[in-house]
Amino acid sequence: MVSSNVNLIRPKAPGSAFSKGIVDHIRKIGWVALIAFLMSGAIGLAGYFFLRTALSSAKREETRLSQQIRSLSQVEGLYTIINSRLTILSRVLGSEKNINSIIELTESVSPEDWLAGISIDSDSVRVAVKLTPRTISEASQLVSTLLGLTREGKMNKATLDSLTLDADGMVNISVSFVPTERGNP
Amino acid sequence: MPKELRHFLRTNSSLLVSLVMISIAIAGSIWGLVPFGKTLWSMYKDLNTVRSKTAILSAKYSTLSSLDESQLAAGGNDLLRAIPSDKDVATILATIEQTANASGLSVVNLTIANPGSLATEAALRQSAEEKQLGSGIITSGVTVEGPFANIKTYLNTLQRVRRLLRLQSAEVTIREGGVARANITVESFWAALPTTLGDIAAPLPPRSTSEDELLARIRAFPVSYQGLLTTGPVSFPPKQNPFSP
Repeated sequence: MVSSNVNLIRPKAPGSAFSKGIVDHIRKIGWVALIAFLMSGAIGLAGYFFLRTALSSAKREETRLSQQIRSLSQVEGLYTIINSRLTILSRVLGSEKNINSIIELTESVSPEDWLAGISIDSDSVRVAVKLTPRTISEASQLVSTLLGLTREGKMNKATLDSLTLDADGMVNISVSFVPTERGNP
Repeated sequence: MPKELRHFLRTNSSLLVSLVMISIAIAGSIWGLVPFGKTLWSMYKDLNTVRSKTAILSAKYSTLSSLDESQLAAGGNDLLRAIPSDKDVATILATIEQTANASGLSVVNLTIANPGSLATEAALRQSAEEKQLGSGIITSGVTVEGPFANIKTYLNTLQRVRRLLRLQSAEVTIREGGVARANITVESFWAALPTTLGDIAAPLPPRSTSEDELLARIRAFPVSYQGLLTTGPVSFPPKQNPFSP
């Protein structure tokens, strides 16, 4: 005999309410993960097309500017020459000695008619001067002047290299000093 | 399919679908989104690089297009009178001699120390000072005679002429009556022209006010060897590299 006991109600899954809650959470996570994945992909694709267009446009601009600059290579060459020359000139002029101020400083040591010789050397930065004062007292005055200029900071390392008295009473003095920034601006 | 399995699938279908969705998201992220993200990041960096290069090129083009070629050529010529592109010994001798004559002095002796090859000697080993200056140095010695006042003028003028000279040493002997003799050592300079323009994207250094003043100052220095000028203004063929043959 055929049973007439037909159950049309969907059988409930076994398990507690707790496990049903977990399943609900997993379902939500699944949807969130899938939507996040798809949206990231969509945003990434949009970004890709934007970047590709921008990159292509920037490269076109770069090519255009490069061609324009190449057409001005003559100007660039001249500009480069001038700049390189100016750099060298600046270095050379910056290392020059101010000869005028060195001579002026030398002349301030003694009257011009005492001056017998000047020696200036850029490497040693020392100035050597030969002087011929007429008397010993003038020679003494000259040494005082040198000391005064040293005290004023116009020179340093002032040295009396030699002092000789000739038979005719002429005094020969050799002095040397290093002009300072104040004495050699 | 076994009955138990069918029963399990029927009762846990929503859970399985969710797990499949999570798996797709994770796997898609690992094998799809991460490499894609790296590609996007690389493109973004490339874009920034190209944009910064374009900005440099734009500034360079703007600077270059604002420059007057004829004025640059004139300025370049004036500076090449001060520091020529080769040793050009004749102009050194002419400058020293003509400056002495203009100062009222007579030249007793004039020597060029170790001039070497008259060509540019680009491969010659440079001294430390030459490297520091960025130019070759030629040392010359001159002995001049005349009134001491004129020698003072000469010493001052020597460093204010084209070609450019730098006083290395001076030994002045003053005799009776104010007549003096000076043994002077001077240095002159030369630097070969650049052979390449460098990278097109290399920024163009802007010229400072002090450099403009220096250019004006140098242009004001008299050229003491005008009579020796046989060449015209400096010119470069209008090619991509103006210095290439």
